[in-house]
Amino acid sequence: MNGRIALGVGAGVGLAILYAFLLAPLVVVVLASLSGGEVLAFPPQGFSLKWFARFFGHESFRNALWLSLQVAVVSTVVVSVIATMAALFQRGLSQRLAGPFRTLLLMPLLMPEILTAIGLLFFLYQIGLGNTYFGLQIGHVVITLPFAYLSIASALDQVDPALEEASASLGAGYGRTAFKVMLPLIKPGIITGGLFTFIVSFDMFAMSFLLKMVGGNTLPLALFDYLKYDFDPTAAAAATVSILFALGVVALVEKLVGLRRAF
Amino acid sequence: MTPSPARRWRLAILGAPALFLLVVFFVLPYGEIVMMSFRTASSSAPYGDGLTLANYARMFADGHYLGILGETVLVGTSITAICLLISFPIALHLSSVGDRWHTLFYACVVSPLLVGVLVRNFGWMIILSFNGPINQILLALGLIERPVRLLFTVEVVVLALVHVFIPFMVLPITTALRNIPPSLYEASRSLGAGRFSTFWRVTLPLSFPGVQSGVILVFVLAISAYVTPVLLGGQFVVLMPTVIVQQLIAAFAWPFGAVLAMILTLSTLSCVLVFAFATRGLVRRAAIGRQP
Amino acid sequence: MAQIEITGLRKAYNGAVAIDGVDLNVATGSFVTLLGPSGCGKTTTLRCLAGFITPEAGRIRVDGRDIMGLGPEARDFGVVFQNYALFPHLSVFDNVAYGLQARKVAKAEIRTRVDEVLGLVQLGHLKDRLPRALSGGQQQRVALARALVIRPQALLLDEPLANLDAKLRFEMRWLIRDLQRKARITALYVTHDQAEAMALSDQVAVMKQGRIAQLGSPRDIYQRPRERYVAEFTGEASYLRATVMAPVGPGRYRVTTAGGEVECGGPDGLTTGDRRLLLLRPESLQPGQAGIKATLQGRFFVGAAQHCEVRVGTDEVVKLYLPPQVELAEGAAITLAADAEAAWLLPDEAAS
Repeated sequence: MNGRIALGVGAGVGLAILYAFLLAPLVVVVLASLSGGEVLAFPPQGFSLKWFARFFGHESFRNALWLSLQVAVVSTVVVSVIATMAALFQRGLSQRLAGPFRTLLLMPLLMPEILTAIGLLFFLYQIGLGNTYFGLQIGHVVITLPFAYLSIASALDQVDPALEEASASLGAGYGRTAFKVMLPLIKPGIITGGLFTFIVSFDMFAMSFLLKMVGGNTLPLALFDYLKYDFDPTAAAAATVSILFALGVVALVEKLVGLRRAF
Repeated sequence: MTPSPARRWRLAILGAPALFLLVVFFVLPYGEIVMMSFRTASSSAPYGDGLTLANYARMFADGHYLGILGETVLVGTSITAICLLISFPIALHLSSVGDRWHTLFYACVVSPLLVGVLVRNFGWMIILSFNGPINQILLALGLIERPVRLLFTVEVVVLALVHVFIPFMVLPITTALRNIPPSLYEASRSLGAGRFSTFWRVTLPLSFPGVQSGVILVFVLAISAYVTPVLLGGQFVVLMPTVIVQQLIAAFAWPFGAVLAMILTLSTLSCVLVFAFATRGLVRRAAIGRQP
Repeated sequence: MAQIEITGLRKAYNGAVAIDGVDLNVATGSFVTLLGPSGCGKTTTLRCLAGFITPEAGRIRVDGRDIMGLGPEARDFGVVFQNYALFPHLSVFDNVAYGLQARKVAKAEIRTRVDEVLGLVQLGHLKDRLPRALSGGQQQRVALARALVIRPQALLLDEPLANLDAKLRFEMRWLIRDLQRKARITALYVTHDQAEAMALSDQVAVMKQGRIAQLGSPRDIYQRPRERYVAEFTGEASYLRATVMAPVGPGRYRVTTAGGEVECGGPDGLTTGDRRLLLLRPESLQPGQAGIKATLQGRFFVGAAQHCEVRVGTDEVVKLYLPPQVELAEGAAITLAADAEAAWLLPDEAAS
């Protein structure tokens, strides 16, 4: 029995180390951003929010944050609509076609982001949208679409087809059935999908890097530029802002949908 | 039931936006990469008129780019292997915890994904810097006399990428493990196989479909990683994605960049196909099939 | 071949008690069935025995040795699962050989023993197939073979036939009983199917809410149930309120009911005036000259017989089976002769 206990404890310690490894960089960044000292160091010396003040004081960071939010919000709205429509479309397809369609929609997730970005760089240039806001937005929409689609389509899969049949037999047309029966039932999927779309867009790097407008940066890009020359807690504050948004997303998912149902 | 014309129209409208978006802004761009690799280079613009094979010739001319390709594949393979070794225990744990704890641990595994690659790398930069906690601990333990340069090495890039890709490996394996009916473990134990023997003869083989998915996914992601090698490897770690982006952004040599991207993609695809083919028997055997 | 002794077994889940003091003795080489509806604790008891669950209290002894501290792999039981639990990635042969490999038996001997047991279940020709290529009945036979080939000290079977269709279930019954008898192996069987339990077992333990309500041979359980629950579970039954008039011999009484006086059997020690329920099995009643007076209320023709309901007194209903050719009008008066051997007195829980 002692051997078994020792193994259990050893496994527990090992797992704790693994989970700590997973979370370490995030913890470090947040704590570094609260440092009271002048240098980016860990453990932080003292406690202060001044770096956040400096972050918001930087015009380039402020603009970057604003651009990131804009692009993310537009992505979320557009993608949620397109993904919901696509999921409903897939539901009406035959078995044979549904599989390939689903694979096509998941392709931007399965292909490396850098390659998709390169392709869009070339293509948008050809059609005159190179280095424009519109081009950047398209890139974000393409990459985030699979996230929303996955969430919405799997929620839709759980809806009993008999409900649609019942609705039709009671005289409701497709529109009424969709809006009054199916969409309300997949609301958690739509919300979860939307929130993940937001956060993926907000954090996106490679696509933004290649498609960005001259002089325009998203927050990750601004942070990247900053790190080339300065290595101080302002950068940590910028990074912490991203982390806070991520936490906010998780909290919203928990509140609106419940984490259990989301995963 | 044959769909009525009205139903066909409706279906078409529903699917049109997604299809349009993906065909025009995803499929065509990939086609454009292929096209671009055949265009002529130009000094004044990203590319010139006409088509040529000169760019491909340049790629294979000296061993330089092939060497980088080889190193990229090697690094990608190491990352995948290490990631698998670390992720399997995590997946085992995650698949066996009760529902109440599951959400918490799941969040721990997925959380790195939610903050973006840049923030994660930044965290590693802090941890591994001269004044960072690792150096401090090593100094305090007396293992080194002066702070060691930890950043800007291949090892660090591997470490950071393993960290990033753990969720991608853990999740498919966890799903596969959760699909194994618990009665199989009971049957194995009742027949006399101890915990380790059961793990080796039942759990491991039956988890293989998840392992295969995870390996393929992580390998593809590892080969095409850009941000992490740049931030944590600097000029000391030069991998294919770095070189490709250089060609596109710094040197404005789009055709050549496209060639490098094509070769990288084809190499990755070949590796994946070889792996999938070689392991298809293992996956087939492990299909759980219908349960009575 | 082992004798199993279970004492005072107790197990609860989150405050809900699954088994509450189970005592059972399984004699060497005998076939004992735990019978009851879902939730009665029969599967929990079996899983405690197998070592998959740790009970809070109680003792399990095999041939006198306490096995509570042993893990399932050390208990040497052959377990047959309801959903077969065949390893999907191993062939039939490898599935059956699994236990022998775990016991480090030599390869040549493994081959002989596996072939032998596959022959017993008539699956030798399928030994290289994967489980998913087999039908349900074939999978169940592989599961049986796998449990038998290791020559365990006892077989534990958890509703092994529940997922088979009715005809297969019937055939597999004989196979299981046959194999158990030939191998002379102690067997503990769990089922909710009373016909199965009665056909297979030397002893049946009827379980109710975590305890054993009655343990006895199938005949005892059926003919001399100790309480209404047991009577209900073992077959069709009707009950009449009865008052004891006088004992007329050892275990025999004369009682009075709403339909008249009847002679019947009962437990020892009842006296005049005791209020009881008279258990009447439908197959033991016939129309006759003397007996219980009743009126025919309804009948169903089911082919081999007529299932009838008759009313006795003002509010009691009795079921009986009549041969198909007997013609009776609804509402007609009928006198039921009860077989004194088959009528039995039960405690009347409502009359306390």
